[in-house]
Parts: sequence; C-alpha cells; structure tokens
Amino acid sequence: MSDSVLVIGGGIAGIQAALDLAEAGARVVLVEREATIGGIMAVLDKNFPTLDCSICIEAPKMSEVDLHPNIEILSLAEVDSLEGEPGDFRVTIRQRARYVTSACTRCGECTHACPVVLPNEYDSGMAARKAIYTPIPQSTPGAYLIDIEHCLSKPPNYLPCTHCLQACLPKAIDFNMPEETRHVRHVGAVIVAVGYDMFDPRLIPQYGYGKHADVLTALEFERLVNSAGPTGGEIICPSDGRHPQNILFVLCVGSRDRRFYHYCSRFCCMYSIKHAYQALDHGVPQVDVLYMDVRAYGKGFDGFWQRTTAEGARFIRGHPAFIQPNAQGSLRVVYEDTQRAMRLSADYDLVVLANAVTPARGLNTLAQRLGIALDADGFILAQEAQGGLVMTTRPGIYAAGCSSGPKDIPDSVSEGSGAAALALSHLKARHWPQAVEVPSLNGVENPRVGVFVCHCGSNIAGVVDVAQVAEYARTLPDVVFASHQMFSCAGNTQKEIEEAIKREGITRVVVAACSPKTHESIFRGVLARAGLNPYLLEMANIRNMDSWVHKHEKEEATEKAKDMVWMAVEKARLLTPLQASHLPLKQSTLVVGGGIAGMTAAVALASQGFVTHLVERSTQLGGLLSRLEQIAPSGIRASQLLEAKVRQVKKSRVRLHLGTSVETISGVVGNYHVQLSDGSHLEVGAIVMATGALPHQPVVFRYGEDPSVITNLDLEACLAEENLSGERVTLVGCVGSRQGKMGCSRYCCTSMIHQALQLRNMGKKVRVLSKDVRTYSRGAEELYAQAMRAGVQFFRYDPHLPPQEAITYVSPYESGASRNGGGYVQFYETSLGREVRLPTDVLVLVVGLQPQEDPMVEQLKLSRSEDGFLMELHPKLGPVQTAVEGVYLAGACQGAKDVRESMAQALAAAGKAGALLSRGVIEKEPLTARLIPELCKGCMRCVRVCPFSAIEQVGEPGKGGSVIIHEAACMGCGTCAAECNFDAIEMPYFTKPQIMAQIDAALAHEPEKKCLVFTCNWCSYAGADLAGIEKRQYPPSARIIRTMCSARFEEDFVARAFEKGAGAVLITGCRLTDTGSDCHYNYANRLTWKRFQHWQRKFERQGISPERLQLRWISAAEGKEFAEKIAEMDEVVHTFASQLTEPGR
Amino acid sequence: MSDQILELDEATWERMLQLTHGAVAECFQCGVCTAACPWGEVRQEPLSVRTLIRRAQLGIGHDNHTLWLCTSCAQCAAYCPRGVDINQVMRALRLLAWERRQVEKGLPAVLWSLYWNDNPWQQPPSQRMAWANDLNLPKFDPQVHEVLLYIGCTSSYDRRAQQVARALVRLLRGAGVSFGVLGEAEPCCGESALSLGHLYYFRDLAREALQVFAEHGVHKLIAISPHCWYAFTQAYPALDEKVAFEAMHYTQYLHELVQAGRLAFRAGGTRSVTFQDPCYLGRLSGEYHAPRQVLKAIPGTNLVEMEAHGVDALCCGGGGGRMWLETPAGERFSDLRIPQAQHAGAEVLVTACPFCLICLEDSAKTARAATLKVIDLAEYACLALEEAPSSE
Repeated sequence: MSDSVLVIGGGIAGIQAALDLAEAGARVVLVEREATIGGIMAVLDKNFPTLDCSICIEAPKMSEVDLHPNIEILSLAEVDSLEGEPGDFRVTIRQRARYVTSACTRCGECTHACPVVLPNEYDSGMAARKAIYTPIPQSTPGAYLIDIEHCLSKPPNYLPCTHCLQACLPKAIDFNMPEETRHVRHVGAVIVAVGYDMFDPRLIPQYGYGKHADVLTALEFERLVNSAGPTGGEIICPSDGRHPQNILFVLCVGSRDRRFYHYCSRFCCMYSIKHAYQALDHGVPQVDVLYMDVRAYGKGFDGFWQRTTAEGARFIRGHPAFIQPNAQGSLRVVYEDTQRAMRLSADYDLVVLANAVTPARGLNTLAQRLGIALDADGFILAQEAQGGLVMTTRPGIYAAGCSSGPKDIPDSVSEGSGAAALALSHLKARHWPQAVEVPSLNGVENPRVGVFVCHCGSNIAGVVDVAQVAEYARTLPDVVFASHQMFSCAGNTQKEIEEAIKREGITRVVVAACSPKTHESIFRGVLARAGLNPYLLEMANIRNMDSWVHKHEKEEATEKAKDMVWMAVEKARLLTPLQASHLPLKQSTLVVGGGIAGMTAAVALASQGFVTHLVERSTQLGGLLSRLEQIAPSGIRASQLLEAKVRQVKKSRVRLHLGTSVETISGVVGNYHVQLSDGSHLEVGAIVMATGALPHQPVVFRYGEDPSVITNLDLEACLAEENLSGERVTLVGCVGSRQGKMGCSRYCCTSMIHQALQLRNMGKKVRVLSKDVRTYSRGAEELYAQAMRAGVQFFRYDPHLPPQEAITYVSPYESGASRNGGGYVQFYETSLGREVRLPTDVLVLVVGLQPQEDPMVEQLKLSRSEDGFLMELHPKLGPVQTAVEGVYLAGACQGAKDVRESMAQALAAAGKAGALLSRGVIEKEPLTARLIPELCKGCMRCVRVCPFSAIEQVGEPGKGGSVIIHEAACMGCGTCAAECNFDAIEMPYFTKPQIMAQIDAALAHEPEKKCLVFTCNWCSYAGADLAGIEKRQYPPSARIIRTMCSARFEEDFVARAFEKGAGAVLITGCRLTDTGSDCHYNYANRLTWKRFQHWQRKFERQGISPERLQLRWISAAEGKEFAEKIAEMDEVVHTFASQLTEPGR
Repeated sequence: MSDQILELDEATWERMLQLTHGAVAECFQCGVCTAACPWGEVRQEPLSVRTLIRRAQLGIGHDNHTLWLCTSCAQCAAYCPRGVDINQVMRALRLLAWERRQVEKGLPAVLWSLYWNDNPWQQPPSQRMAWANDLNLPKFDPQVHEVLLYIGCTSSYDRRAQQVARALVRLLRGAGVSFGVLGEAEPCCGESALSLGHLYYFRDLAREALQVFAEHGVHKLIAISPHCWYAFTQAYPALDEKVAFEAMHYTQYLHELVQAGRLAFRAGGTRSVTFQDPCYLGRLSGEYHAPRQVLKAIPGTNLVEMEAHGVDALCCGGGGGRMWLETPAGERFSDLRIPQAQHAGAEVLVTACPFCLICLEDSAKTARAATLKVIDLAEYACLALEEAPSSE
C-alpha cells in the first residue's frame, strides 16, 4: 500500500489537491509540464466578480506547495506510464532538465547576459524573454531555467555561448545535466488536474485574429491590463500603441458553435464582464459587449454584471459576422443588434475575443497512458452517478478542475479538495513532517546578534558597499559578529553561518540579503540546524528593496542598507524563541443535513475513518433530491442515486440521527460541543454544514389557487407518474431568482429544459420563457440544442422585470380566456420586439432556491452573503471553508447549486475536514495572538473585530481577563492587538516593542527625510518585492516595516513615527475595493481602512497634514504602482523637509 | 401594426418544423445571419434573416416583402454557429407564402413558364437547341457517349450564356471527349421552383426530369450551371428520389480532363485573373478547388484572389429566384464585386455560373470598367485551347 498520491497538473485545482493531501499526511508527487506551477490563474490579472488580484491570492498557495515537506514538485515533467491498481500504482515520469541548479539566488544576471530573445509565453507572446529566463516572478519551484531548444549552447555545442555561465557567480548553471531524467514513483491514487487550452480564433478567418494586431484573445487582454504585463497595465492597441477609444468584447468565439465546440465554455461571460469593467476603469470611453446569453450563474455574478452595466458598458445581444480592418486602420465589426433588429456596422479600436475553452493539449495521450476514457469533446469522462465530475472511468484515478470540462476557479478548487478526499481513501500510511531534533544552545535569553551581509554577487555589492555595512553593523548594540558573504544562501555559506553561530555564541541572526518571502525558510533552516530557535531570525531585504531599486544612488543605497540592518538588529534583539503549538482535536465530525450534499460528505468522511455523525431534521434522508424524478442534464434517475447514497451511508457506518436537530453548539475548531434534540451530546473536531436550500414558494400567478399553475417540483411529481393533463405547457424561468438580492439559482435552466424535453417527448406542445438561457454546465448546452430540435419553443421575456410583471397569464379556468377557449400567456418577446400570446393549458413556475433559516448559524457565528446564503471564506480559493475554523460548507447552503455541484462541494468539504482531522492535533505556527490577562480590561473590542471569531467572551464585560483567545481558531492577523487600547494582546514575532524599535531605528537619523512604510506580508510587501524584481527605480527615502496584515498597524506606530519626526507615513495592504478584498484574513483590511480614516482626521488635528499620512492598497502584482507611490511620497517628504529648513517656520 | 399581439400559430409551427426537418428550431437568434447577409451592404433596411427565422419559429408566415430578397447565397448559413440550413427555412417560408398567395409580382409567371415551356425564361421549348444549330451535336447515346452534356435552361436560352455552352462544346471536343445532348428532350432541373419555395412543384419537376434521364439511360452528366448541378446532387437526394446517374459540374470535369492529360492549354500573354466563386458551386457544394486548378493549368494565368473569396465570396445576386425579379440600381451585389475584382488587381473576372456571368457582366458595363473583362471559365479556357490535330 502506498502512502503517496500523484497529482498531474499544477494549476489551482492541482495545487489545492496537493495541499489538502499533504495536510492530511499524504505524500504528494506533483507533476507539472511547465517550468512553474500556478497554471492559468497565475497569468490572470484579476478574478471575477470580486476583482481579487489573481497572483496575490495564488502565490501564497504556490509557495506553500513549494515549502511543504510532504510535496515533491516535478516541473517540466510528464507522466510516461502507469500500471497497477488503486492503492498500488507504479508510475514513470519523464522530467526535462532545467539546467539551473538550486544554487540559483534569483539574481537575474544570466537573463541580462543572454543574447537570445524569444516571445514570452506567459504574456501570450506579447512581450519578450530570453533563452534563460524565469516564466513569472513567482515561479515555483525555482526561478530560472534554460529553454534549451533555443539556447545557443544546446548540445552538441561546438561553439557554445557562455554569456550566462560567465554572468552566474554562484555557478548555478549546469549544461551537463542529463537532458531528461526518468523517475519512478509508487502511488496509491492519481488526480488529473491538467487544466485546459484555448481555441485558436484563426479558425474563424472572418474575425481577423492573427491578421490584425488589434484583435486580441481574452488571455492577451488579461496580460494587457496586468500591471506586471507587457504594457505595465496600460490598455493599448498593439498595432500602433495608441489608447483605444472603444473596445468590443465578443463572447462565444468557438463555443456554442456547431462548427467548433458545441458546448458552453462556462466562464467567458464572467471574465468578459470583468474585462469590460476593467476597460472602463482604465478610462476607455466606450465599451461594448456582444453576447448571446449572459451566463452570470454564480454568487454575486448578476450583481457584478449590473454594476458593469451601470458603469457604462453596453451589452448587446448579437454575434459578429465579420471583423475587418476599415479604411482608418481600426476595425469594422458587422453584427445585428438583435434586440433592436438592426444590422450594424460599427468601428472599434480594439476587439477582444472570448475564445472557447478546449481540452488541454496532450490530454488524449495522457488519458491513454492512464487508461481513462475521454468524452466526445475530449475532456475526461466522469462517472457522474458515482461521484459528481470527480470520478473517472478507472478506479483510483480522479479528475479535478477543467480536465473534465470548463470550470471557474472556485469550482476547480472544490474539485481539487474533493478529489483529494477520494484519493485519501486509497492510502494506508500518513506522515507529518517532524521537526529535526538539535540540541538547543544555551543562553538564548541574552541577545548576541550576528549579522550576515550578502553580496548576492554584484546584485547587492554592485550598488551597496557591503563591507561598510558589515563594519557599521559591528557598531550596533548587542552585535557580536558581522561579516559579508558572496552568497549567503549558497550551501557552503549556510554552513559558514551555522558555524559562526556556534563559534561566536550568536543567539539572534540578522541576514541582510534578499526577500524573506523567498528565503526566510532557508535561513530558518540554518538556525534550526545550528540549534537555534528558527524564530530568532530577522532578514533585511537590502536587495529587492534597496540595491535593485536605487542602482544609481550608491551612497544613499548604502545608507539605507545601514538603516535596514539597524532596524533588523533592533527587532532581532527583542526576538524570543517561539514554539509551534500542538492543540488537541477530536477526530470526529458532525454533518448537518441529510440531503445529497450531507450524505456525500458524511460517506467521504466516514470512509476516511473518522467517526461521523449525520443529523437530519426530517425522518428520511434525501432532502430535495427525494422530490426529483430525474437529474438534469444527465438524466440519471434521482431515486437510483438516492438509494445508492443511502446504501453507502449505511455501509460506511455513518452514525445517523434522523428526525433530529441540533439544539446547541459551542466550542472552537477541534473541540465543538453539540447537543442534539435526541438527547445525545457530541464532541466533534469539525462540522460540515449541509443544510441545503429551500425552494422558493411562489405567491404569484395565483399559484395554489389556480389548478393550472404548478411549480417545477410539482411537475416533477407529475412526470414521475406520467400524469399531466393539458396539452400545452408553458414553463416560466426565474420565479424567485434574479430579483432583488437573489441571484441566479444555477440549477433551474438546465432542469427546466430537461423537463420541457420530457414533456415534448410525451407529445405536448411545450414553450419555455426565460431571461437568459444559462445552460453552462457540462452537457447542458447539448440538452438545450436537443430540446430545440425536438420542437420545444424558447422565448425571452424582459430580463429587467420579475416574471409576474413581465408576463400575463389568463388561465383556462378564468373568464376572458382566448378565442379558442383555452388559457394563454402574454408577454413582450425581446427577440421579436412584439407582444406575443401563447396558448397555455398548464403554467409551470420554475422556482429558484432560497437560503434556510437555522439557529446554528448564529451560534457558530457564521456570516451570510448578501443573498442570505452562508458565506464562504473566500469566493475564489476558499469556497467550502468559512471564516470559522473547522466549519465547512457543502451544497446549497452556500448558494444555489445543482446536484452534481453539490456533490463536488460536499467531497471538497469532506476533504478539507479530513485534512484538519487526520493528524489528531492542530499544529499552529506560533504567530497567533497571546492574551496578557492582567492587562485586559474586558472592553470586548477584540471580540468584535476578530475576523475569525477566535476570541470568546467568557466573563463579565468590563472585568479584566474576561476573554479567551482560541489559539486553534486564531489566524494571526493581529487585528485584535491593534484594536486593544491596553496592550493586552501580543502578536509574537510582530510585537509592539519590536515594531517600535524598528521605527526608532529607521527614524534615528534625518527622520524628516524619510517615509515610513508599513506593509502587510501578503500583497503590499510582495508588491514592493516585485518592484525590485522589475528593477523599478524609486527614491531611497522609504523605510519598510512588515507585519502579517495591515490590520496589525496600530495608532501608536503612527504616533511614534510622527513623534520621531518622520517626513511621512504610508500605510499599505492588500487591495480593498467596492467589489471585494484581496485580504488574506477575511476582510480584515476593512478595519485598516476604517482606522486610517480616523487616524488621518486625528493627526490632522495635531498638525500633520493629510498628505504626510497616506494609505495605498498595493497588490502583489503592482510593483510599478508601488514604485510610483514611493516616488510620490518622496515628494511629500521633500516638501516637508524643505519647509522645516525654511527660516521662520 | 407593431402594437398588434402576435398569436402563436401552432399548426403552422409544427408544419415548419416538419418542412425544415427541424432546422428552423435550432436557431437561437444570435443574428449572425442578418449581419452576414449581403443585402446589408446595399440596402438601408437589410434583410433580417434572423427575424424571418424567428417568425418561422412562431409559425407566423406573414407577407414579408424581404422574404423574396433572399438570393439563397448561404453566406448566413456558412457563418451560423448553430449550423441551421437557412435556405431550407427560407424555402419553407416561401412555400407558406405561395399557399397564402403572398408572392411577389412576376413570380407566378416563372412557374407557369416552367409548366408550359419547360423553362423559366418564357421561351418556346422548340427553340431549346437553337444555340447549337451549327454545331451538329449528337443526341446522347449511353452506348456511345462517355457523358451527357446537360445544357440547362439559362445556357439554352440566354444569348450570353449560350456562348458558355459553345465554348464548352469546343473544349470537350478538344479533349476528345465523346458526349451527347438531349436536345429538345432536355428537361428543366426545376431549381428555380425550388429556390422560389414551391417545394411541391419542384418535386414534380424533379420526378419528371429523373424519368427523362432514366429513359435516355443517362449514367453521367456534366452540368453547366452550378444551380442545376446542385439540384441533381443535393436537392433531388433530399427528396428521397433515387438519382441513378453521376452528376458533375463542368469545372470538375475539366479539372479531371486536365489531370488526365486529355486537355492541354497553350501559352498566351500573362494576365491577372480572379475567380468569382458561384454560391451553388462554392458555399453550397464546397467546390472551391477544381475551377482554380483549371485556371492554374492555363499558362500565363496569374490567379489573384479577391479579399472575399471562397466561403466568404460575395454573391452575384442572381440566385434564389432573383433573376426574375427587378433589383433597383444601387442595390446589386454584382456592382460591389466589380471594384473588388479591380482592387485585387485582376484584368479578367472569371466565373463558372451563367447567373454570375450575366449579373457581373452587366455590372462591369454599368461601371464602365473597361479594364476588367468578365468571362466564364469555359470561355477563358477555350481561348487558350491547344487545338487538337483532329479538330474540325
């Protein structure tokens, strides 16, 4: 039995699967064909509908994968063969050489030296790269590689070019690596997450792609708006570089097209809406979108569409026939505005094609090697009746993400977790990384600081006088040793540091080199090997934030490096050893709700071996599924699926509590206490909410009074009995959805069409009235086409009105029925522009889904989204988690869903819960908040601001120490510490004294000429790092202090800075917009924003002009924006300093 | 009119569904058809193909004058993402119009001419072979002849198109092909009835024609007009009629002859030539290759392409029954085609369909495009014919 899982594909689905598996103690072999993991998400600029910065939220996951001891990444690798059976597969993998060893310090000198210029794939070929290059700044694993096919030294290299070899001082380039390495691994299960490719629009020659430079694909546009892209985020016409005055976005290019791909590519509508929004945001005056149906099916999607329309984007229902250059050199597009029935010939500066999603190239070969079947479109064939879209045709092999059909990020993430949950059932052994036991050094309480200044070849030493910096360091308090080294991170140099620690009795280490984001873990390892607690390290980032960005101001850069080293030394003096904590956890779970999601989650958890309780209010399992006859679009019999699931529930020894509800629930992750109405008391470590949704109960169209008006659920019962009187059936979509705060209910279009087809096959005359036809899911568009061919008639009613206002129904039971005595439906048909009357005997109201009321939600402090459904931790990357650790969401309680989506999400929730429970303890990085009870006054402010409900009130308000911080639930953002007026909460590694000491050191000399910059760990620090990687020059006046989250910044920090005479203070953090937040701590940066408003007012009253205290959100992709902002702040500082020196002031 | 409520006509809808074999139902109203329709290039109020299909989807036949604009060029269907056979829908709508007597003036006369004269041109049947009086063409005999040369009504009666038939006769003789004609017994293929939407009469005509071919033992025929060829190869089989002979378009046959080395051309001066893809040869039948290969086989021919060619080629405006309807000056597609050919640098505009030839030559004259000669491929090839030693 193997303890490993092979994950093929390192996009977001594969990353998620790998992380969940590794967390659950599985070993993971992650095979990626490209040089870096990250997939297409790493290329994207922003994510819809929240406009999260894509790389900002993905990069932390990428480095998590990189650093996880259980995960082996094989990049540039492909699976060659697979044999064996579940639990015991033998897989061979071919890996191409990188030609760059781990000695690489990411300095980038090689790239400058390389003479070969090639198009950069990650910028869709719109920018250049060299033959030795890094695909993206966040490249994982390893930064640089050689594209040997284009390298002038490609063996046999009779006349080798040695430019890079000469430039690389750490000798990290090795042309003697074997071109290809074969690896053999034994794995218990396989997850295929190979993602997708995109349709080549050249195959539609009428659209001019490839002929005219200003016709772009969506991915090219994505790079164009990305500030790390080829134009630095400026939208230009590639033909001549001018700013476009208008842009046209064209949907369904190659999708929903019988000539190419007949299916719906699912997420193009939404990213095109996002693109339209971004184009307007970039100041493009006119933005048009040509669509056929806007498939805004997800949570908040319709709202985003409306907002984009409100911003001024025009959505025109139509599809172009031609896109051709006009006499002026821009593009003439011919289409029909179908709502106005006008053929238009309009000129655009830029046209962006939303080209179809296609199976990943090579999937065919891979499927053959793995022995799994593909469907007719070339995606992985799913065994839907068994496991949603995650189960392939071969046991032990699972699919996740777009490998089984187009899917957006949260759906891919869900499937990644779900596939991990299933893969785990094939493993026997689990492993968790054990800390290396090294005898600890004595005397740690005395700070004896060692400073190591890195040359990074000439990267630092070429600008900064490193010897002078080391010399200077020796003069600092408690510094007992200082040296400078060629490459601090090189293997032998690491040894040097280790020896120096032991020899000199160093107890605090400062490494002045590059970014802690890439190298902190390496130096922590050095400390650990030397017997020093790894948290006694502080890095000064004198490369990315100094030498790289001030290369022409050598003296100032050296001065800045000294300051930075001093700041680091001051912090280091105050560092204390920290230990990861291991908190107890009950290895049992509670699943609330016995519908398809609850049953699926419970079975998956029980088969992972956890005691699983399934609580269902009613006396039967099945939930809404038991009211269905068939499941659309697959046509699977609901009863079959239900019976199969119930059998699995019984077989897997899930503890069933039928006719039971949860009375009270309390506790935190790992230890929840649950009282059930059947009298039993449960202690569980995790909870899966699968409470489902309620079908909307219509009160319109005289439903309930008029016997000819039924709902689609009523119809389902009729279809089961094949008993429906009335020949002419009209189905009306969107009853109770897509109005007010309610979004699209996702399941209904497909289900409605499935019913319509069944009715048609019974010989009825069937009409469907809808707003848009949203058959986005796999097989649904095909069902739509089938229903049309069979003669089901489709109509569109006014999408801006609820159905009861847009449609008049005269029942056959009413007087005033039509001339032939029957009933009819009358409405304004948008594709004809006329009132239409349809004879109708039966009116079917297709109802949406609504959130359930549940007292548990309040007890668990779960949040609800605007539409009332339970809120997920993050709309993109945390679709099944909640802000409350240990509570997961499955199925329709999180938002309306169809059966297979519910199953996928339930598996994901089970995967997540399983990963938490499997180890039996909760291991926490020692960065969580610590309460100092004697200082606490019991004001409860921390309880109110904690984004994770990790602080609990346990005593009377106003009484000291009446709160406790649940370490297990704390994520370490520090929001509480900043909120506490009494310094009663301490944030280890980012304590107030440490930060104050850094401030003091930064501002000791000429404070008026300096700008103090506070950054968060995730986005704004990464943005500053990126400015360095991109060598964006800015003035050397900034001094940067990093904490985990911007919500850690206290008023006292700002006060101290100004007290010391700082020229200016800049607050930065992850982006916060009207639409969402990139914050890694559940919107904690909203508090930063609130506090900042307050500070600005307050300090202004104290005579600090507002420009001296500013806030700027910086995403991890915004190196340019960071540099620009610092330049702006420099002017503020400059003005301030010159005012000070003016006489009379 | 527009505030009137449209009542769904269930019976008509079901009939449309059946007449179009479901084609009408598949449209999801994206409007590519309307955008693609060449009428949009020449008229303020273009032909809204989409609206016509929508009406068909509702069973609303309705007298719509624009219905008769359609030239059946199939540019719409070529770009349709749903693959709807729009010509089929148009014909079904036109059939309803015949039934409701909502037909454009002049069209009933075309059908009556087919009835009385066996041709749509209102010419006496006795004059069918007048063009070949001097050619001494043998009556087709299956025992003797390789192929039947099927002249078709337009080449039989139209003075300009007759030249094409004559040229083809010379080419076939030049290649030493043994062929015959049916003479006055030659039946009309009925394509004009088909594209005018009189599907029932078309069926009658098709059956009659098939009977004549059967009586004469025809096993292989060469059609001059792509419209006739389309009828034989596609429209007849669609009626479930058994077509017992092989039908080729003459350009395909010439291509075969060239490939077999039976037809050779001598060098003339170098000329830039462009080719007008006839809709029924190209878009409707997918034959873009053969005519170009024949042109390339003629020494001195520098084949240049117009920007819109192949599947994108602009229709001449003569199909779909438009030959029998008046198209006002300024609304003729062929008027647009002449400058397109000139823009491509062509001195000669070659086509392979009598309708194209008539329309384009007309437009070239109107445009006084003295530098551009419009000519049929058969004529062009004939000019370069290497006279066989045994020729008359």
